Amino acid sequence: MEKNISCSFSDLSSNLGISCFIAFITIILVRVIYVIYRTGKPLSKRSPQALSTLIVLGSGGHTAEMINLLLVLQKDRFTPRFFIAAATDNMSIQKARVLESSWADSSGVKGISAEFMQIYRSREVGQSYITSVWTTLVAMVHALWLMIKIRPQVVLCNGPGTCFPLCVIAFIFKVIGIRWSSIFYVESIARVKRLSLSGLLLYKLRIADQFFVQWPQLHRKYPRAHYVGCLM
Amino acid sequence: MGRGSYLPTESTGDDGSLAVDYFKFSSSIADHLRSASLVISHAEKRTFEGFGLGKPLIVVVNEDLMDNHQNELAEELAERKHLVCARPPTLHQTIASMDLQTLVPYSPGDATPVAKLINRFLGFPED
Repeated sequence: MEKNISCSFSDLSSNLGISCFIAFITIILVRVIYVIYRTGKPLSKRSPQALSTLIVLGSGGHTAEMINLLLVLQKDRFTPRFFIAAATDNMSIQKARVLESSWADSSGVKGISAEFMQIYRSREVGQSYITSVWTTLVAMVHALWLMIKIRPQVVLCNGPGTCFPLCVIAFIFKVIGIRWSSIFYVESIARVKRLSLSGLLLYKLRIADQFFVQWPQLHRKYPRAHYVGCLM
Repeated sequence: MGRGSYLPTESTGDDGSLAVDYFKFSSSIADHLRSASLVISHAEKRTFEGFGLGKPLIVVVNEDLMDNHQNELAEELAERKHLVCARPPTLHQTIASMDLQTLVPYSPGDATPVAKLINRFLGFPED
């Protein structure tokens, strides 16, 4: 008799465990589908307040292109600003600091309100794709740490590998409900016929809210992208 | 220079040979570009610094790099006649046979369409 009771109790608790697990997975799936559905739809709020903005910088021309874009955005709409560059990319941080100081000077504000951070790279140029799996995981953990601190409402990126973990985490934050963000990806001007790996992933996985390409060939290949002509 | 081990030989060109000078790094090459009448560069986005100054440009594409997407940009701009594309083995022939008069100036790009779309998406009022 007692054996029956203890057996049925452990059956019950394992059934309960399984049900909870299934319910949890279902909720996550529903939430992911909802986020993907809402991704790309303009925000419904009219006249929003200033939005905290994460700007991902990259070596080579990425930072130059990003700065070109920042110059035509209204600073008071995208503030506070957080700049992230790869750990080995001091030049990009330097360029961003110069930009922010010139803005601070011209508006007469003492000190800079932006923050500058550096992140471990998912993948070095030329690194094999296999070892990149491990380094990407390390970069993901570091990115998670930084994103928890920043929780941006807007993410601006244009192609460096560093942006992929950050965008994925922004997407996860949307799913879990930590912070809803709008993710904007501008594919680099150097990408004429083929997307970069980051771009391709963000496009296919529908993580970016708006995806911009600078050449018509890419627009034909990827019709959900917005063709905006050359930025530089 | 860069990550390579090759160093060019400096030469004043007094004996009729090519005058050669080099530097490993410069934070801005704008002044050098301004005083040049021809620029030869490899394919990278700094190409645009030369464009702004209206100098004729030959871009040499690196055929050894795997997945060399930089070539796409050089080739596209060459097709649109904004610059001349060359390859290392045939660079001297390209220089000899090029016609710089056929080059078309590159008009600078504009980031405002992107800014407009971003602002509209976020619900900010049109300027």
